[in-house]
Amino acid sequence: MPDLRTNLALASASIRAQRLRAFLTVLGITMGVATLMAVITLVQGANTYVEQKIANLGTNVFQVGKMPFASVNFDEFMRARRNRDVTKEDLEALREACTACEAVGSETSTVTRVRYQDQELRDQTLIGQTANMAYIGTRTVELGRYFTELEEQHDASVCLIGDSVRSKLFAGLDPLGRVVRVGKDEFLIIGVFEKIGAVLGQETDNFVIIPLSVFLRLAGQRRSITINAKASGGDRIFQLAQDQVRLVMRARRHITGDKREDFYIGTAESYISLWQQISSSFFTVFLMLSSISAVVGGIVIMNIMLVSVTERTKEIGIRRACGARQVDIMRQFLTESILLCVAGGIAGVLLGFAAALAVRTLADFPATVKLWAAALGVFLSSGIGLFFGIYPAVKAARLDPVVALRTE
Amino acid sequence: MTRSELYESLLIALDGIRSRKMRSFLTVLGVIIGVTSVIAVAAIIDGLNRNIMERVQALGAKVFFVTRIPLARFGRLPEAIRVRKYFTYDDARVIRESCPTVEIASAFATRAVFFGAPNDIRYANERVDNAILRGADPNYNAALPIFDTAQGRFVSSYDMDHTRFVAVIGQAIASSLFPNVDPIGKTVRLNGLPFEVVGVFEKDTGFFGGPGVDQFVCIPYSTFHKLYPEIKEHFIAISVRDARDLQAAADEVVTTLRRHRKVATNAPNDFELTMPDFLSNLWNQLTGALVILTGVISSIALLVGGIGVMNIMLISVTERTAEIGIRKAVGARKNDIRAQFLIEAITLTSVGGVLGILIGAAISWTVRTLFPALPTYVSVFWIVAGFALAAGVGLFFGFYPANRAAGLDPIVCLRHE
Repeated sequence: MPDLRTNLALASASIRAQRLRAFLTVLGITMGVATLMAVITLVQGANTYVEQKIANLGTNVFQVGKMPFASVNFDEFMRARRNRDVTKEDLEALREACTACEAVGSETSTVTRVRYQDQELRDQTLIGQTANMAYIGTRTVELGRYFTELEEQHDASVCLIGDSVRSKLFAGLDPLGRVVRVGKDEFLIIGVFEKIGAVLGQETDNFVIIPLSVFLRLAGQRRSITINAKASGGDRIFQLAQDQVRLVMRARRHITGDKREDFYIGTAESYISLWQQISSSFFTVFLMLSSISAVVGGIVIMNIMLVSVTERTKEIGIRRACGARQVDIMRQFLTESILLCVAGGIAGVLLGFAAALAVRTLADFPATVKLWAAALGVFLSSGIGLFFGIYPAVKAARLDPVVALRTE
Repeated sequence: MTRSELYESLLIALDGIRSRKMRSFLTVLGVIIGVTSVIAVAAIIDGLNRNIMERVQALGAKVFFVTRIPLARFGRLPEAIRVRKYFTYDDARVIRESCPTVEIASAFATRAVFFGAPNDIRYANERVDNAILRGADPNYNAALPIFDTAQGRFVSSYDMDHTRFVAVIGQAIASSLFPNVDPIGKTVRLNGLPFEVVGVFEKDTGFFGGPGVDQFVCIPYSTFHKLYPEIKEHFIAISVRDARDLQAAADEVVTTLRRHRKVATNAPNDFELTMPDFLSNLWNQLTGALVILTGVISSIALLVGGIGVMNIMLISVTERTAEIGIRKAVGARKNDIRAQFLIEAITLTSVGGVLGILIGAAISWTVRTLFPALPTYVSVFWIVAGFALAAGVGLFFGFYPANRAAGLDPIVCLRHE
């Protein structure tokens, strides 16, 4: 389309003629879009953080427990405290009955001390797990191996340790094959887990994992365990597995009709939806506030375009006299404002992403750069250019050529 | 610059603004939007902060707490804290005797969901679950004025000495147990035992979903200790005569308690002091980052508006080159020209600032009317700050164009078409 090319040439010529003005005009849009981009990226990052670090159950895994998994409802917690414990018998029953589940495991935890020779660590998490949690869970063994079904059945005193336990007790030593004292009992270390890092400022690598049977023997049978079930093979299977689990649990607890269930089923979704429930209002406010500056940027563009139309009245008159139609004039000015905005938008997207990148490097926060956000930024800025460019362009087009030519 | 010169500059500025209405309006609009968003956001944040401050005032600026475990802490308590020695009722007496600055030291214990078990309280067919039961001594409400009684009286020393079964109940409990009758003198069943209601607290709903005095039942400490000896967690509320003595009293209490609890010289305190400002500190800690982020984002709009002002001022300088030349030719100095354009820029942004403050106040008023949960408050500080910010933007972004105008060569200007 030669027309478009002419328009582009005209627009870029007039922009180049007024470098400082164009720069300042674009700067407003750039800052607006950059803020918007940075906010979107941070919001995305926060969501990813929740998905990866907090709702990190493993793929296709759901949990069954006595207490609600993701809830901010105080009364619900109070009510749930009186729920019946989820026990090892429930685990056995689910293993039997849940045909859609690939694996059903369980874990529970408490606090303990860990000692090796003359060093003692307090406030370490002691986790009791079934052997198949190696398959269900998300922790990966870095050194050594997991304990086996057989070891679990025979209450073997073996344990795996988290990264911080290793670095604090066994700095410079190979921990495998050494014996640590966990609480009052001795355990043989057979594996070390990969570092997970802090989540929400809380250390997560300070744990010792022992077989569930040993845990229950040491810490007492009267406690509720959390059952983790894995059911891969698509959404339908996953849903089916949950239904089966719900059916079995209801039957075991004699819950009929619409009576309240005294157990909870949690998936990664439930954490994420809770998070969205909490955060969505904040994020909406942030997005609204940051789009305000984009609007202000648009107003600046409109103002400058109006000035530009006034300044170039004579030029418009000449163009009209040489046969340009109203549409041509309108296109000329629209092209100019959109071009300005798109340039500002692209710069803003880059700037916003640079800010997000800086945050990611400096603060260990997964501020992910999304292509759709970039596209949105450019699209939005061209939209602003179009919207705020229309009035000046129409004003230019409506000028009477005779009057325009006569202007000094 | 004399006053008449200033006046002259102002007139020229207003004239310039008036002659280009549309342009000035759009320029000002950016500043208006920027100031509006700053004011509205500040009003909401201020409103929330005032809520907290009122609560702090209600708790009293003259009282602090001594506890075994930290009051505001998230996550599991480390073992070093969990093994600390419990406070006893007697510790309050020790503090009273050895700290001269302390006026009242009152020990109390609580039985609630997280401290033992939930309490139920009944009268006739009415029942309230989840009440917070507190064993308090007679000077408890002198230390904590938020526990003043609206009806009847508080626990007396006679009640205390004779381990009487009397209770003071919160307003919410009173209204659900006694919808139609006067609660004073009635006998309620508290966890199954008969208690005579001797008083009702003043209304206090608590805030942000936390429990307020409304959910409390207070009984004499002696009775509490007799019925629930298993509850060992004691808190001590300490009040001083004058808020200025607070720090001195805190130091005395620390010294006394360290000696009394036999803490080694080089060991850290095995107890926590919670000063009156802990609530606002906690609040700031929770919301500080969000507040800063919101403030930064909302002021970016103002910055963009400022850039718009600068741009228009530059254009204005270009357009009025001839005028500048003439003014210079008839004797205007650099400073005069600079003042003229600076004043024009500042006038523009100040007008924007005033309008922005008005619109921002209107928005905050609307928010307050529509959402009573958000008690927005437009403080004088933010009105002044908003105006100063707007004028500052004018000064900052007007400086470069004004300087450029001032630096123009009069001969070149005059020749300019």
